[in-house]
Amino acid sequence: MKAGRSPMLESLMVYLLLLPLAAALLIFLFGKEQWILPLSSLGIFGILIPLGKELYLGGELLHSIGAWGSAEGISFKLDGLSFILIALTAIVSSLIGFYALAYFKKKPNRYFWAVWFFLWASLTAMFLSNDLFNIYVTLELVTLSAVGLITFSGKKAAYEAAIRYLLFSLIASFFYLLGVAFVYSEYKVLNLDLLSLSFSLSPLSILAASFISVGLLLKAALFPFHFWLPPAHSNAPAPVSAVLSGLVVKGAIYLLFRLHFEVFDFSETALFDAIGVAAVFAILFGSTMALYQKRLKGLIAYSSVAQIGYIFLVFPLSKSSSLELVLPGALLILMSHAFSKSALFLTSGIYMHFMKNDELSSVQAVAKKPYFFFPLFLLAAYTIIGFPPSGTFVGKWIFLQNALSSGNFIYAVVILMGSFLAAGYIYKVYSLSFTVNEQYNNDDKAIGLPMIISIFVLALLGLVMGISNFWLPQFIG
Amino acid sequence: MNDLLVFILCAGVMALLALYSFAKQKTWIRKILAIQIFSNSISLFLITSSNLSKPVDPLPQALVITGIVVLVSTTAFALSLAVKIEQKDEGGEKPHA
Repeated sequence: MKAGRSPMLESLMVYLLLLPLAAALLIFLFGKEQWILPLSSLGIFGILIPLGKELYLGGELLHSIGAWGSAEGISFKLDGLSFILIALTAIVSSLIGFYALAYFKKKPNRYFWAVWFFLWASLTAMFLSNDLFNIYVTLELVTLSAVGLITFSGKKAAYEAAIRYLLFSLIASFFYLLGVAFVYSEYKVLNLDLLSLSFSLSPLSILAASFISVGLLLKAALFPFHFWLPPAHSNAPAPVSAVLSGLVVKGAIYLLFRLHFEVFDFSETALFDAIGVAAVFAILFGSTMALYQKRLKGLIAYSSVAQIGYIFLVFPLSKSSSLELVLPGALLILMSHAFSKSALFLTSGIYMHFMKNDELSSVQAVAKKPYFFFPLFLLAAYTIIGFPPSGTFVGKWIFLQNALSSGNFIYAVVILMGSFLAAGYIYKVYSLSFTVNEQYNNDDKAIGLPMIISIFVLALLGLVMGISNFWLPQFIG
Repeated sequence: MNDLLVFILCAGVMALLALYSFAKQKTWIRKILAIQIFSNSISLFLITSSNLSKPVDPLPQALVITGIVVLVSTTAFALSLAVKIEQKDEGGEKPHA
């Protein structure tokens, strides 16, 4: 830590969380989301820039709420990994927010926006939290607000997907809490930094870490725990699907990275190989299921299952080659997936506006009139398949290199097969554009320019993410 | 020590029963009840483990209070969702596959 850093700067972290919380409260009371959304986004970026600069120059920032100290009080920590996730949340949430402003123009709902900002605040709190119990509370907050958002479509299928998602998330949270209870009874600390000093592989701590991992893997929707994801993500309104696939799943993945790479010492055990096997199945199963989907949003949701599998390949690969080499790859795939998957779900909103449903047999009609659907869809899909210079390409390249150099040929084959399957399911959507159908909903005035611009920016960010590999390793190192 | 062991065993049995009935029960309300029991078993475990040390450790009890608050709000939300689904069923909407 650098000497002479002002405590003011460190307490800025708290405002990253307070700003969206205040926005949620103000919109709940007064509405006026069209003013509060840009203002709070600007405010958050205004805080993120000096914090990021300080982080780059002086290393990680710590702040204890109420000056209680890290042993018993709540402490926040901002390091490279959490900064990247917080910035990702801010960028993706505000861009999807601008889309949602236009999307809900006909029937504005201020409760939607209150829950929206609440989700934003909870995710930021999760990324800042530095102790196990605080993380449990933020996990529940993220679940509650995410499930709340799904129900805003008002369909019965959405309610059923929401309650299934809620109940499995609760089971997952309680598994996590049970693990935390074991950890506390063994070490008497909850703070992650203190815990990482004393953690050892005793039978009780192995049990505890397994419970925590199972809970988080359920929330991260890694195969075979993916079953709740496709119905929940495909029945929500388009902006909600985008934020669920883009950000909410990433929260659990971030926690697994944080706990396994910094606190638990599991790299020598079989758990990492088990995650590797699950990741291989996730890639192959998710991509194959995506090929057979009859609905556009179902296809996009199963593609998420496969991409989550790619991110988890970092666990087995960190075993054979060093973590510093493969972690940037995982983060690149994570970031570009957040951008381009939200862009894909947002284009599905345009599609559903024109077709009144998202059956894939009606894709050809869309190709004719709203000329912007296919260009936007393909721009985002380009990153999902993994062409250069997208972050997915660079991430897969890093994984491929490490898999080959350490002799894990199965992973290398699966990485390539996943890309071919992805090209297959994207082509399935695109090929339908060649057939001609005259029936479509002609009302394209409802698709405002803000919607197109926010999709374009999201897809473009996913595409150029690969460049960030030049500074990413130093930033998280 | 032995009476505490009984509580820990109770917590374990409760957790297993809750998970079994969560998997087995068909209606949402019963699944929500199973989750309640699962959460209570974890609270029981936490309270018992705080009594293992002398003097009694207050922190797990603070965690249990927080856990109960979280459980109340999530249960209320889950029940309201279950009621909504019930209403949609009565409204004669087509069941979703």
